[in-house]
Amino acid sequence: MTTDVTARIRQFINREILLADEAGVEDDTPLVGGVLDSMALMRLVAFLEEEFGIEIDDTDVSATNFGTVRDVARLVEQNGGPSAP
Amino acid sequence: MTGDFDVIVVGGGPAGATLGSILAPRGVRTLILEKDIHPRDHVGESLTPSTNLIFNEIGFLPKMEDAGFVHKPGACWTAPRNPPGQMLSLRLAEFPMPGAIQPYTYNVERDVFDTMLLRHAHERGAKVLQGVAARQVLFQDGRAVGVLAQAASGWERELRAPVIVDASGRRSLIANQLRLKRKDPMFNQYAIYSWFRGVEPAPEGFEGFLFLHFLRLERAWGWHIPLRDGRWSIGVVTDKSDFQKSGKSHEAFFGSLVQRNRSFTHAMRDAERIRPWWIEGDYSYKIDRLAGPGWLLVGDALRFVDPIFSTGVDVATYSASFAADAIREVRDGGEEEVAFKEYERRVGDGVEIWYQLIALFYKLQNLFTAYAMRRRFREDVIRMLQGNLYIPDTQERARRIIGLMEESYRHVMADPDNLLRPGALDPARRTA
Repeated sequence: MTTDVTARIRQFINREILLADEAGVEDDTPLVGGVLDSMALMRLVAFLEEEFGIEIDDTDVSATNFGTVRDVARLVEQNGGPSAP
Repeated sequence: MTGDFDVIVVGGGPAGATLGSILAPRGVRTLILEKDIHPRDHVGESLTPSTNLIFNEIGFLPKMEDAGFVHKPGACWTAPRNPPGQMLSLRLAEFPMPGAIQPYTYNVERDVFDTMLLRHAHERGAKVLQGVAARQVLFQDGRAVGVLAQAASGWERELRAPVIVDASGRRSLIANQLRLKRKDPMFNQYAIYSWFRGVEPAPEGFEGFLFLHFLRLERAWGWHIPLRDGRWSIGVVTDKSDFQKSGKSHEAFFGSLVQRNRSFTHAMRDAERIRPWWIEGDYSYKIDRLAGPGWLLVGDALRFVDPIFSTGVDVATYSASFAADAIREVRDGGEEEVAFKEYERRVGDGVEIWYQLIALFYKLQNLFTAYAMRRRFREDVIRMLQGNLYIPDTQERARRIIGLMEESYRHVMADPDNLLRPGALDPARRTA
């Protein structure tokens, strides 16, 4: 259930972090340099760990892995979570 | 008055008053000398839940409850760009500590609180002299044997007792006299604070919470503490050099730091200052020995680093409790050197862990968020922040987290791509 992973990540960012219902980030919107601040980033990490039952090391909290929703979905998959498309 | 007392305590703040409250009812004749006449002002309004246990033991907790001090269930913190109302929080009772009595601690106006506690010591049988300063501790053949006490009137007298306890706060009477006090090389923090009215209340469900605001300045943060009657203690801590470089007045410098955080700015937009600015600096130090022949150091007089984790009264009450144990052991026939060494170890170990946590916080503030937010670390983080880092279980948790954080810190700082690095998410800095 692939699209599901990106959708859940996108939904979390839009609803919980940006507090936006309609507009918000797309799967390839850059997250670093505007969308995420340090606390939003850690809320996202905590969400990913709980939502997908995975662990994310501090070493993986990088601009590469958190560049876009798609990058984050890939990280989830690499860490043993459900696969993205 | 020679021979009238078993213990002379220099200082009637929370450490001295707690010590008197424990010893006096057990037949230890205790004299507390307080240079000021309470009430007097003091910084450090936010307490840790672990102090509940000591206040309960000395019968003081009901008085705190009767006084109506604001209940503090936990702490919230905000990042500079968080929209107002969005914050992270820790509820201290999420993982209750062993022996927990209630799911909250308190925010206290220290002038009122300290006066109540000193009166409590008196009611429990300690002799309290206010307005009497201990000018110096008297030594004989390397042993503390008394103090030179002096009142403002000029009254001066040598008072003697088998044990002298230094609870003189950051004045550190004994450590200064014996030249044992060393300024901490890592910290040159500086705090500016005052009381305000008209501060925006916390969102529903977070009443009483201590707020910490991060300020996009690695060594700086702001506090925001609700007190009784609509008053708030608001302060900022920063590296002293940042203040000196700014060339600003206290008022302007404080305002410029508040503006670095949206939530802080929002909370303060209609605030009105109701007391003069209060400045604290040069407060981070270490003392090489915490006890010696005939003397013990308790509370701030033994060490102070930084207020970030509300540790002041925690250290005061626990060191007082352990000092009481050591003093009673000697009275019961134990060897003083052994008992006082054990005191030094118990207190020193706990205070050292506080120090390491504070040092880590200042190395990388994001680490605390990273650990507090994740379920697998959360219990350990909360248990540490509840205070009482003197019991083995909490110490083990703290050491584990400190080890992991140190490792994280090394990895994070070694990788330019890592987003936990200071400023990594700052839009201005990234495009620069």
